[in-house]
Amino acid sequence: MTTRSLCAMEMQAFMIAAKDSETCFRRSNMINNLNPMRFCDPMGDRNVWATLFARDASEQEKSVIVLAARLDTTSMFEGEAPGAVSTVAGLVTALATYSLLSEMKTELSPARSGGNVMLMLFNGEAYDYIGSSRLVYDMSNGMFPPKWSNVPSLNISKIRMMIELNQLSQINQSTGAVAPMYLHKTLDNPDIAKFIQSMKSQQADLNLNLLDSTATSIPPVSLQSFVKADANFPGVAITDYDQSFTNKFYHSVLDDVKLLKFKYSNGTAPPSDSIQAYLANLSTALGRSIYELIAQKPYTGTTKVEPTQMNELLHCYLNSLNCSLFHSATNDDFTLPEYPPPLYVGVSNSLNAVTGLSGRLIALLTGAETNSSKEECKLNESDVTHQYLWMRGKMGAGVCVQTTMNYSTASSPAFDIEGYNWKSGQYSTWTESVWKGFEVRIFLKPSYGHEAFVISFGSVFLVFSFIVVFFIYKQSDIFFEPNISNGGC
Amino acid sequence: MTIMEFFGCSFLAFGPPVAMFAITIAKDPIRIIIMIASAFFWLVSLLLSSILWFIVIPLRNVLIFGLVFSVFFQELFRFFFYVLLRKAEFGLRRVTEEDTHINNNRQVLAYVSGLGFGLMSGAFSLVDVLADAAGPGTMDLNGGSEYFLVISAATTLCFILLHTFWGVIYFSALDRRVIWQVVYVIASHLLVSCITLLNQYQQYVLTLIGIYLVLIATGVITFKVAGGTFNSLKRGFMWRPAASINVSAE
Repeated sequence: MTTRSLCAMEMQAFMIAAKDSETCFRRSNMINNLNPMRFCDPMGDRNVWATLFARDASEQEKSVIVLAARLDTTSMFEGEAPGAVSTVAGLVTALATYSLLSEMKTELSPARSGGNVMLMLFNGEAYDYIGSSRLVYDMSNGMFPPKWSNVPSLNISKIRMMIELNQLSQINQSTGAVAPMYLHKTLDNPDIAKFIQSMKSQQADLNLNLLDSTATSIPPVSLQSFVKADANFPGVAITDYDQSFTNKFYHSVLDDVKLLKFKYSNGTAPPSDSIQAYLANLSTALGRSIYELIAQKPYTGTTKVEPTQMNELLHCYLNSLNCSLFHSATNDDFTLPEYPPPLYVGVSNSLNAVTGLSGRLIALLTGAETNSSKEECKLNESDVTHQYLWMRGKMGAGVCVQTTMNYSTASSPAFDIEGYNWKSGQYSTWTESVWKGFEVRIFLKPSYGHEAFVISFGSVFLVFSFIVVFFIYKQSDIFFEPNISNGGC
Repeated sequence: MTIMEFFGCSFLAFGPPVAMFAITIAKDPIRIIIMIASAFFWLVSLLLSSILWFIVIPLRNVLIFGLVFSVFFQELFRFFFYVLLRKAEFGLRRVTEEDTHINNNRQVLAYVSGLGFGLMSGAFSLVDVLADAAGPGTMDLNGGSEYFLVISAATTLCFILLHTFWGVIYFSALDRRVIWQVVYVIASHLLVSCITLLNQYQQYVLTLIGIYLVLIATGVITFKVAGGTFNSLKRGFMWRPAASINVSAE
């Protein structure tokens, strides 16, 4: 009984939800509700895309090569989704490849004969391909890019090939040898064969190990959304696994720098067996192969992706948002925190920082600097194919950059289609519950012995008092003799 | 303090009064009405005490001022209730059952009124504390005792019983013009309330012993006033097989 009070803590982390996405979405949107309440929010964000050359009406069928990667990942912990192998490796490789192609523009431009490269970063892929399925839906309805921009809409038939960069790492590396990379193709056609052959021909120079995948179907990559729409969609996915993932921490909080074996090399060049060098070589091979596909002749120049650039890119996405590249790509309106960007896609009405920063990074690396001042640096009505962004720039003095980079909605069509059949499983229907505040309180509570004593004593006392009162009542005639001095009636 | 402490302390404080109500009062509608009326009178006295405390702004933090005047108000309203009961006696006599002596009837009503006073006083003392007690935490953080609730419950029980005893003594004393008993009631009420002021100095054991000693003394006096003697006490405890049947001829 005399044990001391115990410390206790009570946490309230209530999340509002209802049965499933269909139900909670319907309830959230009930207009005839006097007490409107949001139960859940659809998940999503924005896709980021850019084209090497500005698109116009002269675009031909099968002229666009899409270079794709995903922007998001997921994990079980709030704010901790590093996605080093699952997302960042492929993402920075795509960025570096696209940046390399941008440097090759002067040689490519006369030889391209209508060909173009589109960089596509899909968001929300971890949740049933939100971004890529939305893109396919928009393309089939002529809504990508949106109609108000006078750019011709892109549809699937204009895509010559899609090259997707998925999980890339050196996990499968056997000692002394180069880690293998696997090429998964959706079908056999001359274009794809040319591409693969071009890649493999560079293996020796660039110290790569490219193998054809032995799997019978393509792995879970964004290509799936395109193949669903068109069974003959030509695409190649480049991954570090063959028939099953090598990444033991896929979509886990442990998919971090240690798994990717990335060590930021401050000042010196990264070692030749590092992941920076490995991915730089892959980007170089990719850039040159894409060049060869478009120009129909091999690339004879010397520009390549340097491991130092890979070093900086990986540092930005894996170590700290406050890195030199993001610093150059933003202006004073942004404050860059010190932590790495969490790559969880989140809900569609709350935009992620990493999406906007990636878009600006693309503008920084591949956009054209203009002479406009900060006030003039905005969308030009006569030129809707380009965006104008004010940023510090490579020199740090502030510059207005013209870029084809833009964003597109990455939220599942299921929430926009009138009368969508939620049971069909055609599109992603992921939603996130609404948080109702988060409280924690610490207090003292009595020990169990103390509580037990009080309740038992009280109960016994209650019973005892009933017995005593009843006894007194029954014997009251004897106890309380009538008092003669009180008088009679 | 959790639900277990909540129930334990409620049983402790309100066990005997509820037993008294259930066994002696609940069966008679007149007694219930008298009890509720007397509880109401206590409430009015509380209202006046609060108004006085509220008005005298500089003395708000001086507990003893509010305490002394509250005691006076309560005893004043006990007197008012006595006057009311005497005035209504004729009508009450007509509606009560015929199987009790008038004297007993007077004493029973005094007991009922005392219990009404006590129950309302106990409710106001403890219900607020009990409401907080049902939560998950306990008193302790600023150095208070962890037995705060148990001590409050014990004190409340003491006061409820004291009010009951005082009711009996007071009414009987006013009937028979025994002044020292009237003075005793007021004085012991003041004494007990002032003893509880010692709680400010964490002298919980001292206060509890003090008020229970006064309770025992008051109980003895009540027993005598109600017509009990040492002999009757002895006889009440002796086991008597039901050989003689008491037939009431009144």
